Amino acid sequence: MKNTRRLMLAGLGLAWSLLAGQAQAADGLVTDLAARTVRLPASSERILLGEGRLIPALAILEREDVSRRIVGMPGDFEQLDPAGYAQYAQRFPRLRTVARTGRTTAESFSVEKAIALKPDVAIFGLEGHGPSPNDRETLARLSAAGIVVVFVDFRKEPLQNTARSMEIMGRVLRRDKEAAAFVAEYTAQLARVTRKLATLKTPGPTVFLENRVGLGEECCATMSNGLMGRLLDAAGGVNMAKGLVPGAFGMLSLEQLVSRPPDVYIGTAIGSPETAARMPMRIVLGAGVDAKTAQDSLARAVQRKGIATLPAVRQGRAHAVWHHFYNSPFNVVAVQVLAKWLHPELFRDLEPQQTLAMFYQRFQPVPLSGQYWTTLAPAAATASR
Amino acid sequence: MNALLMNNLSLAQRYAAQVRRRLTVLALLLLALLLVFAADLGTGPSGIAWSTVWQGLLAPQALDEGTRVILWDVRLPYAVMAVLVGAALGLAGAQMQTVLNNPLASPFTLGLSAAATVGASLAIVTGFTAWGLGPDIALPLCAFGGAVVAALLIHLLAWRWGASVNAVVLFGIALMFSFEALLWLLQFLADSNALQQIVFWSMGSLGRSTWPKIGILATVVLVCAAWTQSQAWAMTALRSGEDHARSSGVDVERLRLVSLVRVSLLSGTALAFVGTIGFVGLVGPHIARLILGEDHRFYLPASALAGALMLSCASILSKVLLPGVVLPIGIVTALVGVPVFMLLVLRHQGGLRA
Repeated sequence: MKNTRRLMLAGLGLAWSLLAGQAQAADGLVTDLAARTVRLPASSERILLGEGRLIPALAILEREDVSRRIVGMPGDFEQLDPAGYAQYAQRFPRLRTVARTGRTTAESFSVEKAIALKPDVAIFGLEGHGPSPNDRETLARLSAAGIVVVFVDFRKEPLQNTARSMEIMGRVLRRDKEAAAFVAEYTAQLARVTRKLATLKTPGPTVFLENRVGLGEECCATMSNGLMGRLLDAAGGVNMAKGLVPGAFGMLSLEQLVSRPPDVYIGTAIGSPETAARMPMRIVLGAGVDAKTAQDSLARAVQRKGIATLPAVRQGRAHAVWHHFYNSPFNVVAVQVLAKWLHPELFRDLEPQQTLAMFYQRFQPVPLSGQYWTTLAPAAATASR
Repeated sequence: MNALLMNNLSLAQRYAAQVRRRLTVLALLLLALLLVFAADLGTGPSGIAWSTVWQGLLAPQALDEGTRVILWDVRLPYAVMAVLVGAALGLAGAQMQTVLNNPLASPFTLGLSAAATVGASLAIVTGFTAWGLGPDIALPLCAFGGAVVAALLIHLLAWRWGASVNAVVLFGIALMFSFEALLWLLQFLADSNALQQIVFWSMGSLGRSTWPKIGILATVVLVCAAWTQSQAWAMTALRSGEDHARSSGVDVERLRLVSLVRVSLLSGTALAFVGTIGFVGLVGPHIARLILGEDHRFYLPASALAGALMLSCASILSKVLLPGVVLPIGIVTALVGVPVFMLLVLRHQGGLRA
């Protein structure tokens, strides 16, 4: 009898809290990263992703099965980071059957397909490879079809917006607790770098940040006011592209690079083990890449004309970091990595590898495997002499 | 005054004077090119002194390593490539305008450039590596293939179906639009990495210049220039009308065919190495015609020189406009080429009216 009453009470309590939760959601408004105030959807069981590469962020919230609620997404994840995608697709085979709403560009996004999938909510990025706030017609059609669109951002202002984006996703998907846990950890990890850097009196070393090493034949693609450039700023590096390249990315002239050599060379890696033979100039990093493959690919990449003779390369201050950190909720790990490279003394006790392992263990359904950054081996640095 | 003096001379003397004058103009063009080439070598964000450049050219060992890389791996190949590509496009445009009897003909306007870009984009999108030779060879190869396909299509129409010259030009323009549509389709299908690669490729850049590429292009330009020059008389005859040329014993069909082969060789090789560079092939010949007239013995080398001069100037501009950053040279040639071309057209029109 007592038991039944307790059960009933518990049941009532549960029902009430569910109702209350729903009432709160029904009344709840959320302001997204595009500064649009949107009403939370009554149900968020069917999710449309604006970019496939939002899956790791979604997985932070959907610990058991990230694929369960996704009804549609474009094909950018498997095209741009095949090894990373394979990790999730292996764990959640349903991802392979999720409808693809486009390829890797906003232009290829099919509104008709998206609406036909009947999503409750669509999660888009402020900029990148999916629909953006500028695609007004697309947004108008989606909202006319009763689909709630929220904008998040891991790319435009990665360090300012990651925490907020996770909170918004948490609210929309009713996963506030998971979001809060991640945000707390993320903020703490970022503070480990920013707090120490604040004590620094002198400007950091100058850095040449090479964008997507091996993509084109000519030198020197770089990132300036945006993308990975933001992470470099936060890590206390002086980006040599600043003041020359006005936008987020551009081409620095090789002569500029050679005549004003940077203290440190950092390339971003877009290669995968599959492309290593076909595109030997790409640096190979990411899921499933072993340390030797990574290091060898960096040694190969810095043999290019003009790069090989840089003092930074000769003296072993050449590094490479996984390109997709620029669009990942784990961008804070890249900040730690860069900070340790640029200020080895200051960050002697910082272990980015541990940070990444911890993030994967606590917040990801797939294991951490593979190298996400590498440094030129002293032997390779001598060989290029 | 001059005309009065000339009246006292015999026809042969007057002709000799005219040839001398034209040779002088050619020599002046060459001198201007040399000067601009030197200026191109002396321009760059590192601010190397001219004396250092000169010493470095004579004795590269004496330079410190950074300066040597800048001079021998950056500035010199870029500057030489600018001259060669400009000459190739100028020469190609000059022949095309003559054999197709149309002032609008050029590798750019008749779709050869667009076809080359489609070829290169195909290589980028499919990840074609030319049977293991790597993208550095596969891309130029496919670009060249694209240009040859376009030239063959134009030629098929002109030769097999005996189309009129006007029809050939219209067909070429239609070809350009088709290849551009194909290019957009490829860009749509490409992933964002490949898309970025296509965009950069099609904007044209001297940054891909290497000494082996320069060697290949130099050979092509020299061979084609000598070959074209040997037909200068026939081409001059063609300018005074097809019937007139035929009656003087010129095999017009053969001349047209051979010229189109040369045009595809010249522009295909040039575009394969540096990407799309428009307007040089169109404007270069017009400048040459304005200052030297239609005598192809002078008009052909002058077109090559004018093209080279134009691209060298564009190379300097691309370095000066945004110091430290690479401004794709294709953008500069189009931005500078369009006003120059409009000016030429206006002057030409004005001349006709008067």
